[in-house]
Amino acid sequence: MSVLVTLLTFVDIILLFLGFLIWGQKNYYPVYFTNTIAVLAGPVITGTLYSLSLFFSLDYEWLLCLPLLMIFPGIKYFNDKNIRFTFPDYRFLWIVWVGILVFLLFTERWGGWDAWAIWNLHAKFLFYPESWTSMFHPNLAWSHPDYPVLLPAMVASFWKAFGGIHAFVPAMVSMIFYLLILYVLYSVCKPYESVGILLMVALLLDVNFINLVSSQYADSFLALLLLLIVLLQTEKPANFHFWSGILVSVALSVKNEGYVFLLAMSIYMFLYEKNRISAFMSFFSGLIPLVIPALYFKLVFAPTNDLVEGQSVSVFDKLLSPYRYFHILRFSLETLFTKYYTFVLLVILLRKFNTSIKKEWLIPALIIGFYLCIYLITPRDLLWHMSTSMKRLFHHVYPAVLFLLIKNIDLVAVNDFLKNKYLSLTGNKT
Amino acid sequence: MKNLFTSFLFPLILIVFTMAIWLPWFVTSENEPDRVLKAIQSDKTLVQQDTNREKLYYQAQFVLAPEVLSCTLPKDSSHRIDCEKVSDGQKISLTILNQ
Repeated sequence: MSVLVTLLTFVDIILLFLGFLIWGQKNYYPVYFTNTIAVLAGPVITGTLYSLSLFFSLDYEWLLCLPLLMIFPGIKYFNDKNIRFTFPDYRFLWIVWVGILVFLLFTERWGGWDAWAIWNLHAKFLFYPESWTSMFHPNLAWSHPDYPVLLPAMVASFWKAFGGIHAFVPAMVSMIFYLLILYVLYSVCKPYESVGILLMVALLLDVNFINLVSSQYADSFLALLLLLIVLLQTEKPANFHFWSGILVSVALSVKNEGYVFLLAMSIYMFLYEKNRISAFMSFFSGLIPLVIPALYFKLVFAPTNDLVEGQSVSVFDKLLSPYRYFHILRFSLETLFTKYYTFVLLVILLRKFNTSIKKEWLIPALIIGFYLCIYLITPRDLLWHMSTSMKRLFHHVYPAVLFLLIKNIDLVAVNDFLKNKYLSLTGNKT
Repeated sequence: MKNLFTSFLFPLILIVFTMAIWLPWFVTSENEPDRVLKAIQSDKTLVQQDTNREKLYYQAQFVLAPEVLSCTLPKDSSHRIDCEKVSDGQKISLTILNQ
């Protein structure tokens, strides 16, 4: 039985990968978007199927047969001469190698504290279908059993495929998210190679970024999803609202912060979409397939979130306390300048190249705004709460903000500037 | 041909080589939760840096999942936690020695 699960999991992942590559090419989506979705599709879909098999006590082997149905619509493309797979720029392989080296130096077995105490602990419970609901035992309230289970289910589905619980699986899953973030950011700089390399060097030297991506927390997955959402809203390929809906639904299946993404996207679309009804229809039709299992989990299995349960009448007092506003502002600036100095440095470095603020900046701005509002009313000790979570929350928007920075800058001027600097340093003339 | 090697094959070989060295090391190496599991299985005192009893309990719960543990922090010792498995009441005692 285990061999069948292994076989079906890997066949599904390969089929979904190829299927999404073909689909992306047929619909003229940006290559880097198609490639990223193709890599994510297999783990996300097998993880979702695995969680559905647990929620409804369904046979996982049968559910794994569903993606095989993709073969039938795909047959007609087997001899299609117009289908060409566009692989990433080969130079990017060097960045991948350095990126892998850096990641492997920082990551550790079972990940950081939250990785083993929350995400990998949940994955261990999910691995055992007969006793997975033990994760809701009152003794385990500290492990946040209300958190969505897509990421642990992805890890557990790979553990099923590999026939046991192995520490390398969550590490590899995290590494994929990290490499995809690098890939998307490098690709959007094309054809201005020097800008892409500058950005990659900045990210590979960014200790805070590397620490967070290698910790095996769910935050890097959210950061990748937000990067793709902002990318869709900026590039506007076909059905971009539908795809934004899908990505938001994945986000809220990964972490509760996904609901903040949903709120921010709804406000953004309400403000800027001329044809609001069709945009919302498209967005919500993308949202529905994955939001149903996420809501089912919340309503049927998950206990109440600690931040919601801990609320009391003192919320009003908290909102009126200037002390809390001051500390949130101070801590935010402190986090920005001590943990996200790479971003600050990039902004300073690139300030002279016609940077413009466009409407897409509102999405990460709203998300950070809502996060800061949650701090305002948190039932936990404010300073403790901020010190344990703020850098991770900023990490959610970090790649998306870098993407917007690249998109809103005069890349030709930056590229020429960097090339001239390089030539003057090496003693060559233009 | 030389360009193909330096731009594509060489980094690809390096990636495969790096993973081939790292994976066996990662699979066989040990981290804090692994040492907690070893200490539980061998009934030995755990010698670890920067570990407190709460962290030890969380790690014991992680390594023994899907078993659910019920633990107490006894007052007669600041280095020991006493746990039992909720399913069958099996007792587990863990002692840490901070270095």
